[in-house]
Amino acid sequence: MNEFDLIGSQFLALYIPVTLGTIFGAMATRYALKVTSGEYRDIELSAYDAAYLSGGDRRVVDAAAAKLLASDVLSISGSRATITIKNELPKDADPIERSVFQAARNHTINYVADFYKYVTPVSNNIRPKLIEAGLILSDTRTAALRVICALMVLGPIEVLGVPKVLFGMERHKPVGFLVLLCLVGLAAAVYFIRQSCVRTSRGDAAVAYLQEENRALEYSVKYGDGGSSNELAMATGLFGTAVLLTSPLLVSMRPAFAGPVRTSGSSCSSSSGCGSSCGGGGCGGGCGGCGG
Amino acid sequence: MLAKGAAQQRSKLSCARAKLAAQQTALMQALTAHSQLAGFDSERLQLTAISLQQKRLRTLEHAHPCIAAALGSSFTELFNEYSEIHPIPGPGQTADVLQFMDYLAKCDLLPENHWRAYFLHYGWKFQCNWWHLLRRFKLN
Amino acid sequence: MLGIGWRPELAWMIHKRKDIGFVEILAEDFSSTLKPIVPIKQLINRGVEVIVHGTTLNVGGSETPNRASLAHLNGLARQHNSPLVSEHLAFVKAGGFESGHLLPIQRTQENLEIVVENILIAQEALSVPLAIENIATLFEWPNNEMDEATFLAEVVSRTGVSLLLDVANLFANATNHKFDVDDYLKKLPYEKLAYVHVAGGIFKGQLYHDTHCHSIKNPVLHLLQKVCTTAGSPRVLLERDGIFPANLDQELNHELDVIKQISEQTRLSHAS
Repeated sequence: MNEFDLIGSQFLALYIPVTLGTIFGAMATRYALKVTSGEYRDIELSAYDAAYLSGGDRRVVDAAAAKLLASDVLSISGSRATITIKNELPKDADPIERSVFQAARNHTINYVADFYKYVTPVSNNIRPKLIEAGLILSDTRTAALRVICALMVLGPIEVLGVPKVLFGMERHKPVGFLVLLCLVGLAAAVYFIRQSCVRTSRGDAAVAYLQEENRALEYSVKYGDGGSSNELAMATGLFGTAVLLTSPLLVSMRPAFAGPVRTSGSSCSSSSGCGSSCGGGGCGGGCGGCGG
Repeated sequence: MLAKGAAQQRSKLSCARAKLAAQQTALMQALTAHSQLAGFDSERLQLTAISLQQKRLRTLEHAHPCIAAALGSSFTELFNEYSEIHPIPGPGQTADVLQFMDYLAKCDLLPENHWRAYFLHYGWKFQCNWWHLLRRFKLN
Repeated sequence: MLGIGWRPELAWMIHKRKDIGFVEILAEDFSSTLKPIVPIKQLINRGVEVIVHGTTLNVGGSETPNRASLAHLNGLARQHNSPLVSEHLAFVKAGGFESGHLLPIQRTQENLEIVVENILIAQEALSVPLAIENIATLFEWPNNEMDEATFLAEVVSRTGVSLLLDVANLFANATNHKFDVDDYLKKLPYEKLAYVHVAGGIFKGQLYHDTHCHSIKNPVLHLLQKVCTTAGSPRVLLERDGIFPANLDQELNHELDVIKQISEQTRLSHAS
């Protein structure tokens, strides 16, 4: 019997399990590669290593920009939050900081997101160390994972989905739902093909450990100043730029990270200041002189 | 005899409690209304009233910093107007904040997306009052 | 032992400082039904004691302590394995509304009976010992029948409650109400002293405001030294509630070092 002759509901009863099955299969393959890869070595991770491990290239750029802004090497000016050079870069600066600095010197940077275009690829300095430490998949394994998983997910679309859509259209049958299912499969394929930094299980464990170890830092950055610029880079790297958006003491930095959409969307992104540092919610303290 | 003594003691104490309640209420009213109270040093009472008012302002600012940020310099002015109408803060930590927000909403000055900003800022505090806020969030 | 009031802004500074022996958490900021938050859990795991510090129990109020507030304090103490809970000798609620501010009570024999009963009720409901703190005030009630130290000592002796002495509050009151600190210190029951608070403040004219937002002034440190000498090197906790500048870590670390030094010196002089 030809599966293309099946009526709609019968075909879907075959197609849906097959699509889901291949997506699960691809995920299982990805998981198997993550679990089996990498020899663990105990290494010291810098803020940028941690940033790459938890959020990829962009996170590294965010962390470097946060550090340079906090240490007054870069500054923000104007209503469009243009990032300009304020002071010279220290001699011992990291190569990533150098490339962010160069981008600010050579281009007009309105938001930190603009750095992404000019500061690439930042991972060249980081990846070898993390691969060697068994924290991310090697380049070959990553490429294999992308191709295998994408092909697995695309299989049912090419073999069953698209031909059936064409047949259906030819026979003037409704194909909207099937097209939607094909798009789901396609989205899954795009997800797998875009994997550039895949952590091994050890990498996952390393990120979880670092996040746990630095949870107090996250609180301090969110609600205070978060210590040195290096620590700020670590917090941004591990927890993302959300930690910077709420910090009352990093008000000046906020517009650069918030970007144009968020600035208009959230009242909290305005640069007028988003936190009273005093008070303490009904506590015995407060600057009014209460005496608790 | 002993039971009678204990009962007497209890009734004495409940009288004392009623007297204390009246005294403390009078003091609190004087502080919130910035008025004088017989027997008290009026200057010191006034200083306490000011610091109480400032603390109330800061508690509001602290409780919902994103509203304070959005209102900017008019925040203090609006708070002063609000506290004249509502000199007494409601019971509990969040009551005053919610009442102030109602006031702002009536004046059509409540910033948009303030809850989103609040959630972003105050994740850790939800440990304490998330249900309060969720209930409110639903209404907003 | 060195302590500091835990605030989210200070979480990383506290995490890095390994000589912190105990912290205080503000009861009103935490849930008694959820697990402790990660930074505090980590402190507990490394042996730091967590004391629950409440501000709204209203032991100086006309009503008996609220059952829900007591249950909240109890829950937090259980969750954080706290050795004790502390509160203030003050009232914060009257006539159905809250001041949001710690206010003094008139020190009369009649009010002493009420405070004693309130504390006894609280102690009965709490599963850990309770400590009561002296507050700073800008004004005094007329017709007080006894001084603050006598009232405090009387409360302690009648209830067996522990004492939390805030030296900054003591300094503020001694300055603003002009009484003799030595005379005050002589009346305190040091055997019941659980720990000591110290915090920063500012002078505004002739008055001292205990703000918890400024650096510790020298006279407060001298008073701390005196208390440490008299009380035999008690545990000292630094409070900072607001104005967190960028170099706060440095300022607070310096203050903690000074407190530690005072504590060490008095401990050594006691030992010898």
